[in-house]
Amino acid sequence: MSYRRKLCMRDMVNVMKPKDEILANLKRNFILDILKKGKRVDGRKFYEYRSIEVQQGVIKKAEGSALVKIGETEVLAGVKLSIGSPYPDTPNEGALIINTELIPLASVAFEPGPPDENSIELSRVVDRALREGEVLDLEGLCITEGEKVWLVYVDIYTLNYDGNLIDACCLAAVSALMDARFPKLEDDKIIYEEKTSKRLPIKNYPLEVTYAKIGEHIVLDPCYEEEEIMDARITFGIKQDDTICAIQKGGRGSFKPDEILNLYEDAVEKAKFLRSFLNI
Amino acid sequence: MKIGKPERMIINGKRLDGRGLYDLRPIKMRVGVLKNADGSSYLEWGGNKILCAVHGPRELHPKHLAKPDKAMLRCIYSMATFSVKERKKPGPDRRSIELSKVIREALENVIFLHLFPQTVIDVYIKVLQSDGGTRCASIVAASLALADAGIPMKDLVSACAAGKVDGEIVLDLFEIEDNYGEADLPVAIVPKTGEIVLLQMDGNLTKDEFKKALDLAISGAMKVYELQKKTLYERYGERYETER
Amino acid sequence: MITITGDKICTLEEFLPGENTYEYDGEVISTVVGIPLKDFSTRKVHVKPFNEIPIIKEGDKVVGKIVDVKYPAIALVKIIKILNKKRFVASIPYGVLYVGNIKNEAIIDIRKEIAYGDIIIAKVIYAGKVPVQLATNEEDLGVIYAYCYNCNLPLKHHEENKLICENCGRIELRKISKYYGRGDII
Repeated sequence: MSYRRKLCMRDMVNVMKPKDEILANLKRNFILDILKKGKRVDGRKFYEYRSIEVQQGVIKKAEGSALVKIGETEVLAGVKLSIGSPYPDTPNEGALIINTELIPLASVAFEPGPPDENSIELSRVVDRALREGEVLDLEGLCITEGEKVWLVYVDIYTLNYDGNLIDACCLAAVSALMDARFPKLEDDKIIYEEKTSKRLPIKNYPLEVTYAKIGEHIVLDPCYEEEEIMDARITFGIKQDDTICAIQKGGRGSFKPDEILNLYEDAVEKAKFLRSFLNI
Repeated sequence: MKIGKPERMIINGKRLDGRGLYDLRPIKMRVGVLKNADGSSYLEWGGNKILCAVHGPRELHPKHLAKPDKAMLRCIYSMATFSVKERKKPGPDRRSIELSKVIREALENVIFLHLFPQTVIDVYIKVLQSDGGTRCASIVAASLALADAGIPMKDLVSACAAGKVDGEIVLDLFEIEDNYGEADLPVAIVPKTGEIVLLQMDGNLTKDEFKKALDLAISGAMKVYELQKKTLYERYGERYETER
Repeated sequence: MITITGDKICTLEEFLPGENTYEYDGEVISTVVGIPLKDFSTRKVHVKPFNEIPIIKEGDKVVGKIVDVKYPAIALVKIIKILNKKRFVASIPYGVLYVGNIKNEAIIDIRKEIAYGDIIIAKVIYAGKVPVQLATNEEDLGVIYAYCYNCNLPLKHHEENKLICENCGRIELRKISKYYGRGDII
């Protein structure tokens, strides 16, 4: 929207197609110059998100779904439920299984085939925030203790990649879980066609906030160009009581302890901002 | 409530293995343990037993992966099938792929990769026995092996975890605390500059707890760093004397 | 005195950083485990590592394989290792052998001196750019192992610059090292 008109600088970077390391270095110099002037390639402030859109219930066949857009980044999360037996060490708890995939339709950089390390990292980071942040009250998914529990599958697909998939995927997963309703259960058989009005037992709303470090500069919500040349990345998983539930640092760069503590404080505010899109 | 969780993990200021809250487990390090590797190290950190080998820099195959301006670092973290309670399936799983990635990124920060363009440096980490905190132990072992291989680095990388158990912030979690504790925060630092090169967390911490845990983990890593230096001094001091 | 990775060697006022060192915060820091050597003439401090990474330098003797012979003047060599060093070469391992550097006499045809697939020992005479320049114009340098053109069997040393195939009796010409056929010297 308001960023639309200011895209000229970003387009200049885009002319140089990525892929090659040497070209990436050239792009890096260009982006660093812009950052030194206190600007970003798409005209945002350093600690500012792109426009965010959350749309729930886009897939009718799924028990719950959500389409999240952060700028041009677009991810789709769907929730499916099934019945299974609980893990032996937690007989009265259901299970939450989260999977994220980078599919080739999102970017030329993603290859088909078994997931590579970036895909696995994304999946595990999103999973970590939701699992450690206890998004669901797993005891509320128990049907009969030790025998039958609900298994909640959250599958997240990246539809378009324009940087910062972690935040988008986490937001999509939480809003899809909020959108989900239990299907009708008759004699231990699930009738998927009929949804009840009962919602999943949501306990917390953990959301992830990602910063990228380019040279000495730290920016929120990196776009594709910034993510390509960034030195390091840090993701905070923040719950609604402002406690922290997950951190992941990525990239070969480094952070100073002070930077991390400052970013953590900022991330708490940004998580509140993201949570406003969930209509809690 | 998980089955098998001990009722209390801190009794009278002592942890289940008898340590105080801010104590490290006993650590033993050796370098140059493998004859065929260019550099190698063996680390015992509490119940963790880790063997690490470094090969290279050497020519990279396939060649199209080679980087024109710097060496490529490949890092493979793997666990032995018998290293955990239930037999682990051999081969890479999602966890070890992620750990390989974060360990590699931590090490890439200190190695002068641009000195060896179009080559590859391989770091193989094998966890023979695991007892919680293997990623920190792996980084410590890997940086020793890299130093043993004579690969130029800014500094050794040192690592240690802190966490929260029974409401208390503790240093260096072992397996039971790792499984049933409230939070785990592995940190790797470059002691020379104080930069953090690996930071992960899972669990729940408030802001003050996080700050305390981060400081504690960094102080633990500094203690480990002294041990790393001592190990290298002992090993190469001996060699220097005999060569003279 | 030894120094290890990350150790302070001296301040920047005393010595400038040389090989295997870098400067941080006004101090010269070692990047490897080794022995610091102070060079008073250039005011630089170097560290000689215990475990040296072999890099191809001028004067090194290398073992290589001929991967291409371009008539009339050039042979391309893939460098396998540096002589008497155990570790892998950490440089880009390609060299080029010009016809004038093969031996001290004038050569009419490079194909009578070396052939595709030969294993040679050569000396690096210029390492300033890739590929490095090699020479075999000494007694111990030259071909140390070669195969028969017809039957792909190893050739035996016959006399002076001649090799013979014991299977078919073919005689081939090479610039032969005095170590021909000896695996112990590499």
